[in-house]
Amino acid sequence: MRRRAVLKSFAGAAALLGMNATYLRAQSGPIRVGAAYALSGVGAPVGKQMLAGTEVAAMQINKAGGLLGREVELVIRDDKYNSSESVAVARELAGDRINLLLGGSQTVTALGLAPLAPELNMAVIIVAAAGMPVTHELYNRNIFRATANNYTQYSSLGRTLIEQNPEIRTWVSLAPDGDFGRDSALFFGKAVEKFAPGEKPTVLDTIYTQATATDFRTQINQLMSSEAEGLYIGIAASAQISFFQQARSVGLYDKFKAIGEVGNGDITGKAMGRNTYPNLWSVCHWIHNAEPFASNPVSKQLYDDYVQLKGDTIPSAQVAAGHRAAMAIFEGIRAAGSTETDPVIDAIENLQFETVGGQVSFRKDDHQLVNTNYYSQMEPSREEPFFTFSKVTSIDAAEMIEPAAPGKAFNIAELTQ
Amino acid sequence: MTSQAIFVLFNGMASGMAFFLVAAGLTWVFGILKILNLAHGAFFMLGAYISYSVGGASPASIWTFLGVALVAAAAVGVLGYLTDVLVLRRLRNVDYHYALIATFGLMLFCEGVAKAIWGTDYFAVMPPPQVDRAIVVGGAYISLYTLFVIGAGLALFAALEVIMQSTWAGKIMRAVSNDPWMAGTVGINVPLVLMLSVVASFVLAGLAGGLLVPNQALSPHVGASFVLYAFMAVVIGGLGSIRGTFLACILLGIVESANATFLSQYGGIAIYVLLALALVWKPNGLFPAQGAT
Repeated sequence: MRRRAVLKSFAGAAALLGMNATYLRAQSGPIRVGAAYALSGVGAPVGKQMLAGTEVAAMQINKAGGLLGREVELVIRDDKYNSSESVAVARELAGDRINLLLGGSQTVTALGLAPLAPELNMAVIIVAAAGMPVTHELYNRNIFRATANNYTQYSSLGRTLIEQNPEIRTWVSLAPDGDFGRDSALFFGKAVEKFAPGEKPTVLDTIYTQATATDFRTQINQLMSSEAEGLYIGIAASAQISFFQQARSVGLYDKFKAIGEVGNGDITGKAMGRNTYPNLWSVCHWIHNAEPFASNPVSKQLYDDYVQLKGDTIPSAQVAAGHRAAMAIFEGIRAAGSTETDPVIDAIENLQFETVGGQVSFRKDDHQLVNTNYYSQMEPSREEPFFTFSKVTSIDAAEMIEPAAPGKAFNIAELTQ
Repeated sequence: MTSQAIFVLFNGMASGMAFFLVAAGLTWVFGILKILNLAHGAFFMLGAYISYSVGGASPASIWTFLGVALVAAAAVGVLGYLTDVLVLRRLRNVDYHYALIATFGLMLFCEGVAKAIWGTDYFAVMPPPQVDRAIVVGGAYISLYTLFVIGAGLALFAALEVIMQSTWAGKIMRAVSNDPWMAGTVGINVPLVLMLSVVASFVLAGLAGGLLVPNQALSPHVGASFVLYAFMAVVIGGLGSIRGTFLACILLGIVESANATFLSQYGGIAIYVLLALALVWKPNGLFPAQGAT
């Protein structure tokens, strides 16, 4: 009897050691979090800045002693600004037993990741994709969108532009011919009409172009020939810079009294420098030396740590997006006391955490971030980097966000005006 | 309608001449070496970056701008010599598939070098002050820089025509292009002519980079859009034919401009229709060069 008990104990111990070796290793090593950003191709200038923010967040957590007594390790992958590549990267990371992922730095990659997350049993933080389907028809409980959606973002931008420039009575949009471009121009125009003081302004038909176009002379000629004095530009990245290069030479800067742009922000400012349009309003994630960011302790620490890590004293606003998304998952792990998918999801649903722009949380119904959205006014400057942010305004997302409708496609016509 | 027609014409010519500035070097090197250089756009991109580094974002005058473009052309010409010695010379007697693969690899290498030196941030170069404004012609806004590009394209075409048709250098190059063995037997230094042709092609790529850099944002991918049109122009015009490429560039420019103005909801589709029609109607191009297949 005693011999049997001893043998059983040996067998049990052997099974425990053998079967749970991986589990035990996983519990004692670093917490591995996937970080899939666009690190090559046309999305790289934005993706690399977001990754920098995520790296700073990991550095800050590790400097403070890690999470659950363990270090955080980022497993970085390049999604190449490509939907199928983002899916391949997620599958590869899942195969490597990584269940927590930061990805979807753009809508194109988020649309690939979102439906995959439940199958891979991953908790995925969508870093910066604003496309409506992510928290509507593609919603599932494994994904959280750590940025404002298109409707909130661009209706708030339209509201900002008309409130700051009420004298402009005719507006027009130039947008890429696709879902995002059509939506953002529509939301912008509707908000301009809704929030204009006094008589309703005229919003002209949107002028469309291709998202990756390099020649905008035809569209610029249409804009120059129009009655509009206010403009929304829905094209991003290098295309937007090419547009400004070509538009400036034909006098578009003199014709338009205000321009709102999709969110290039300092990327356009850095490229255009002294030739930055003088009343350019952008979706703004972060300006470290402008209020309200300058006095925010999270912002100050992010700036200091970014300079220490990268040796660059002029961080892009996109750094804050990568930092915010990473903090969501790190604080989720801390609150859950676990790295397992379900407890982390439960914890993030009930989380409130500090960012460079103040406290944020996720709406439990559709996992949409509820935050304060900021809009910055840019103009050229005589000093390096030859552009400056002259004003920052904010709108609370609670004032502009659409009602949660997980699983259902968004339709602006269904909103009460 | 009149102002639209005027605009389509000007814009089409401007686009066409921009395509030709890039396509000239591509068709030149194919005409002489029968190598389709997939890295041509990458060397155009390097020319643009070199212009930016030498001349900055706001050229002081049009002469400074032209001088900087010539510096970029010379620098890319030196890179062309090195490329010839290290890569292209080894490909002259092998199947053309190897040349395609090698020049594709070269393109990736150049993009990697550009990222390592200049990073992935975007830069913007403005036109020189003399051409940094617009004129209004029949209600259409025409940038003077656009007219400058048209002038540069026409001047380059005229120069290449004179060189190829009326000078000894051009005749020697045509002789080597048509029959290198026979050219060798009459005392022409064929390897030297081939090397100079490669260098000239790269000089043209660098010059195009320097002249067109105010046209769009500077990034490691800046060559992609131009070189796509350049390849189309070379195919439509006839591989190796400078005249054919010139005409094809004008055709592509005007068709694209008309597409953007009158059929904007079908953006970019017309040039592919044009390419398909041209391949059916003239599979060897408008002016097939001798020896081209």
